[in-house]
This record gives sequence, C-alpha cells and structure tokens, in this order.
Amino acid sequence: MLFNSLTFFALFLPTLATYWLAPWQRARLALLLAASLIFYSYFHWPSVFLLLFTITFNYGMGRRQARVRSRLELAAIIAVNLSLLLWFKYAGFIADNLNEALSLAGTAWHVTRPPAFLPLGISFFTFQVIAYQVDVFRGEIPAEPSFLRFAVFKSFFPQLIAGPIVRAKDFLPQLRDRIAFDATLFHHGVWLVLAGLALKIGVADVLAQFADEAFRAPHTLSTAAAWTSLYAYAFQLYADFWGYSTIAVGLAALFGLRLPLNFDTPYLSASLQEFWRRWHMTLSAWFRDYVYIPLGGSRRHLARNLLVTMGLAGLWHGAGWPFVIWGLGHGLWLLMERYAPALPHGGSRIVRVLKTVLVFHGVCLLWVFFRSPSIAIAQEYFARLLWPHAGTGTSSVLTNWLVMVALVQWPLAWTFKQERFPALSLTRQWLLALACLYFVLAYAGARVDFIYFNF
Amino acid sequence: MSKASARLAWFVAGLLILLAALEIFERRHSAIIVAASHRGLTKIAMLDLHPSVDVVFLGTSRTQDGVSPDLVTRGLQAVAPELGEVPGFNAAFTGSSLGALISLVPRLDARRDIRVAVIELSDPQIFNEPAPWDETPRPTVTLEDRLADAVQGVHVVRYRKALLAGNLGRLPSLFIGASLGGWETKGTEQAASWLGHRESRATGFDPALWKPAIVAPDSAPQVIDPTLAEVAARLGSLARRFEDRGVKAVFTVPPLSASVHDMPERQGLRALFAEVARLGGCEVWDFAALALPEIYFRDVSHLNREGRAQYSEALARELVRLLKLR
Repeated sequence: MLFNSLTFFALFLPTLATYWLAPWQRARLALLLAASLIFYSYFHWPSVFLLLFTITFNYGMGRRQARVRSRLELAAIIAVNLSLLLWFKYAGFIADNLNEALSLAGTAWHVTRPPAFLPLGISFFTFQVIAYQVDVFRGEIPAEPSFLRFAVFKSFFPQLIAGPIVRAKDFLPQLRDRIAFDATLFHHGVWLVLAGLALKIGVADVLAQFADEAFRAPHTLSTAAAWTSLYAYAFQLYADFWGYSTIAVGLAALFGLRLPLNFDTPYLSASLQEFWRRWHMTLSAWFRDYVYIPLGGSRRHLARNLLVTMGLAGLWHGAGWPFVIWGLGHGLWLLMERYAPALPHGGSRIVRVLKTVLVFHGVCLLWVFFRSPSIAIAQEYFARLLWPHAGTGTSSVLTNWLVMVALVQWPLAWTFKQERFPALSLTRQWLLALACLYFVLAYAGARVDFIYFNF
Repeated sequence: MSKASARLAWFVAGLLILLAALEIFERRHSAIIVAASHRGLTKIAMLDLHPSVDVVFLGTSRTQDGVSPDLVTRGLQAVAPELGEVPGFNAAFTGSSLGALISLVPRLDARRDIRVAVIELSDPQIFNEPAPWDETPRPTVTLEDRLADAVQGVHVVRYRKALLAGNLGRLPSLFIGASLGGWETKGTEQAASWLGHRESRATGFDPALWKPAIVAPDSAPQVIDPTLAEVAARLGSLARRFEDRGVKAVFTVPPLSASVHDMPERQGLRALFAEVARLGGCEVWDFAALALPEIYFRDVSHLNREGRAQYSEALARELVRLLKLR
C-alpha cells in the first residue's frame, strides 16, 4: 500500500490509535504484525506467504545458529535467502543472458524465461535478514527468542518495502520493553511524515514528469535541456527515496520506535566516498559491513573489493546491465579517489564548493545509466549531454523547481535530525508544516509509485 | 500534561486551526478559487467583474497578446463616435483549444450585454489538445476512489488545483479583474492597468496594410478532408449559437509575420475558412493573408506591444461595420 494514498492513512490511523490504547506490549506487537501483513498483502496477497516463510525459516535458523555457530550452516541459510532473491529478481536476467550466450555460441538450446514477478521489498528484507543471521553467527547479537518480536522486526510495515535497512541490534531491543508514549518523538514523527509526503508528492512526482519525458525521447533534447532534465531526474530520485525513507522513519516514530535516517544531503558531498556515507546510508553500511569488509576491505585487494562491492550494489538496484555499469562506474571512481591523494581533502570553502559541484555532476552522469532502460538510450543521452545539440528547450518551471529543491534540501534535512523539529518555535513549526501541506494538497493526485519499490 | 505533550497539542491544534481558516476562506471565495484553477475560467470570472461588455474576444495566446480591448474601444470612438463607448473584454487564453472554446461559450449565455463575439480561427485554436476544466467523472472502483470521492466535500481538497504554483498567480487578477482588459499576462502589465495606465494607440496606422482578406458567408462550398469538415461544422454551429442569442459572431485569423510562409493558416486551412464562413453564416477576417513586417511581432505568430496597437486599431475599423449593422 502506498504511503501517499488515502487508503493507507484510512487504515493507518485506526491502527495507530489502537496501538496506543492497547494495554500490553504483546498486544501492540501482535497489532503491528497484523497491520504489516495486511498492508503488505494489499499489493499482492500471495507474497505474504513468501514473507511468512522467510520469517519462520530465519527465526528457526537464527535460534539454531546461536547454538551451533556453523559457518557451513550460515552459508546455507544465506544461500536459501539469496536463492529466493535470485529466483524472483534475477532469473529473467540470467535466462536472457544465457540465451544470448547460447545464441552467440551457435547452439539451438534455449532457456525458458521464468514468469516475471518481483515480490515487493524482497531486496530489502533479504538483506535485513542476512545481516541478522551474520550478526547472530558473529555473536554480536543474541538470536531473538520471541517469534512475535522477530516477526515484527522482519515485517514492520514502514520499512518493509524500501527500507531503511534496519539492523536487529538497533531495532529488536526497542520491542522488548513496553513502549512508553514519547510526545517529542511523536511530534517529530508527525513532521517527518508530513515532510516526507511533501518531498514525494510536491517534488519527486513533479520532477518525474520532466525526467520521464526526457528519457523517453532523448534525441529531441537540446544539450541544455538534457542537462536540466538530468538534474530533474537526480532530484526526483533523491526526493522520492528521501521522501519514502523520511515517511518510514516518521511512521515508526508515531509508534514510539526509532529507525535510522537514510539520507544526509548527499548532493552536498565533496567526494564520492562522502556521497556514499550520505546517500542511502543503511544500504551503504550494509555493503560495507557484509561485503566490502569481509572481502578484505582496504587491507588487501582494494581494487577488487571496491569493484565487486559496487558492482553488486548496482546489481542489487536492478537486474540489468545499465545498473551493473552504474555500480562499476562508482567503484572505479571510488578507486580513483583512493589512488589520487593529491586531490585536497580539506581546503578552503571555495575548493569544497568546486569539488561539490564536480561530484554532483559526476553522480548525475552516472545516473544516466541508472535511469536509462537500455544501453542504447544511455548512449543517446550522453551524446546529447556531451556534444552541443539543438532541440527542445528548457522549461522555466523546471528550472524554478530545481533551484527551489536545491536550496531547501539542507534546511529540511537539518530539521529531520535529532528531533530538532519539536524544539523549533511553534510559529516556525506551523510555517514549515503549512508549506509541506501546501505541496501535499496542491500536487496530490498522481499517486506515482515510489522508485525504490522496484529494487 | 508535560511540556512536550503541550507543545505537541499546540502544534496539532494550530495546524488544524490554520487549515480550518483556509477552508473558511475558500468557502467564502469559492467562485474565485474555482476560477483560478483554469485559465479559461479565470477569464470568464474576470469578464463577470465587468458590468457591461459589448465585444468579447475569444481565442488563444495569439489573441490574448494581440488585442487590447481598450485600444479597440478608443479606435472605435475615433472612427465612429456615433457608436458611443463600446467596451470590450479579451477572454482569450494561452492553450485554448476547440474543446475549451465550445465548453466556454455556454458560460457567456447569461451576459445579455455582449453584442459581438470575435473568435480566433487558427491552427492552435483548432488543433491544441483539449484541456477542459470540468474534470471527467472517473468510475469509483477501488477503495482509494471511494475515499477520494469522500474527501471532495472539503473545499481545500476539492479545489486544490487552484493552489498549484501556476494557478496561484491568477488569484490577484481575479480580485482586480474589473480594471483589466484581459490582455495583460504579466504582473507588471496587470499592475499598470490596475493603476489606470492606458496603452498608447497605434502610431502611423496604415489601414491599407492592415486590411484583412474578408471571407464572406456566401462563399462556395469547399472540398476538405473529414477532420477539417468536422471542425468547420463545430465552429459553424458555434457561430449559429451566438446568432440565436442575438450576438454577432465573426472569426479572425490572427496576423502572422511575413517571414513565414509554411504556417497552416497560409496553406491548408484556407479552404476551412471558407467553410466556416459558409456554415456559420458569418465573416472570416483573414489577417494571416497580410504581409506584415516583423517589427510588429515578438515571434512569428505573437504580436508585440506595437503590433497589438496596430491589430486592435485594425479590428476597430472592421468592427464598425458589424456594430452599425446591429
């Protein structure tokens, strides 16, 4: 169920009221689990069985891991979880590439493509549960003894579909004791939901119109329009996922639970390494802790580790070669940053601004692979970007919108941190909330899916 | 109650009060709020602020930018003072389409003062994508649809289109619409008109240069393709509809720069003009047939300030005939 739908709020508000009226923690958890399964089934009810299977399997295996601590069993558990992801998300991609290879080899064999169906959030909940199993194996956390608590951790609806990827050590302890109503956290949650909706509806969905049009027919664009449309996509993607993550953190706060923030003004980064510390932070941390460091990190085979990690990060985002190229592009760039220490890390404010502008444009150029449905479209788009072309001009509406988004991103992100919003004066709170309500009211209606639902 | 709870309560209460105030404002000014949601409705609402209008101009941005009703009125007074003051209003708007025009005209029915309707006949007026303001009712299928219908009772939600950035800019013109002629698109132009500034009349007007090719109602039937035939039929019935209500209709093909030769108004649409005149029983004033210098244009199809003055003067000369006939 989309967070930006009336149906969601019509079901969410009674759930929230019942939650706070429920006298026992178990009743609250049972309510959260039931609500999560209902919200999840609203997309596609048979997927609930897949979710229930992974909950039961990982609960049981986690308990067993705590006792036996077997590396082989851990590998088997991860393999089972990854095989589901592989089947549902990558089987078609693998079959297509196999068929291509078989055709090139001149054989008549053909692999049947499995029916395309992607259970929502599978990439997120698979990674979340792999982290849980590894942490239990490493002894960093105890295996969760309560099935109800584990099921809530695994299925908690605000973060189930598109993150943030919550770690068990951060989330499960919050479910153990009776959650007391925290007015400041609730207050902050209201703001986060409102601001997240404004980011999604008032920014991402508006910019999507321009970006979609540009990537549908890049050959019609002038060079200036190609750049502004690329900026539109960069901020659409940012506002879409930032908005979703912010709503998720806000909804959790309304239930008295804390989730980690997922974005920290990434487009203001002065290096790509910094960018990845501020963009989709929970995914970056996951790849760092469960892929990059186990591979050897920066201690040995740095180039291999970076390229494998970022290539996999690309593939995680989508089953297609443009995503792999996008990931490898980031890997190569990170590698360049490591091997080019001559580039000043600190420096004056002007140097930092210049580096920020450069990094932003580099990230934008790589988004072309991320957004293009095929390599051919990406090539066409690059041709428009990098060589002067005449064509469709730039819309002044888009320019105004981009300037506004670029200017508000930092102050907005500031209010999201450390429950700062409730500490503002009431007048400022009302003004900010009214501004968000304005965007939600004026631009609502399209009900466009969140981009990260596809990942 | 703790301090944190009190702040939360104040925040929520304040927000609800502000929303309630906005709802009350929208309910009190619902006509204006609705009108702001579409350019066409804005123009009709502005027209309603004018107590007496003899000539109404309908069309796209070519007419909106190209006709100053005040200059037409003053032009008429200069050439035919016996007609007295003939106030006009420019109800043309950017992006108008045939569908929009046909939906708009019934909204003029209540205006018994209108004597002449000058309707633009151009490629964009005919072929622009329709952008009707009456939203097509959608079937209520899902729970989301039912909920969306349920919240329509709240004005802030129902007329939320008026809040869009582009539409909000129309609100001032709806409050000062009585001072505006309808051609003012920029805020500075609106402010100037509101403060009483009047545009200068055309300098060195050459009636021979601006004399349109007139397509008479008794034109011979033309062979045109079915799409254009349907357009001609719709425009013809529009003109007849005006006639039935005692309003003289006339179609104008707005001026084009002499530098362009491949515009549809100078090529494939000429047969359509004759059909419209024949079916509508009215004249078509073809200004696109003229070879006008570029100094009057800001682009090939939109007049600049001097072009507007010249075109308004030319329209006044042609309108004299119609107004004397009535």
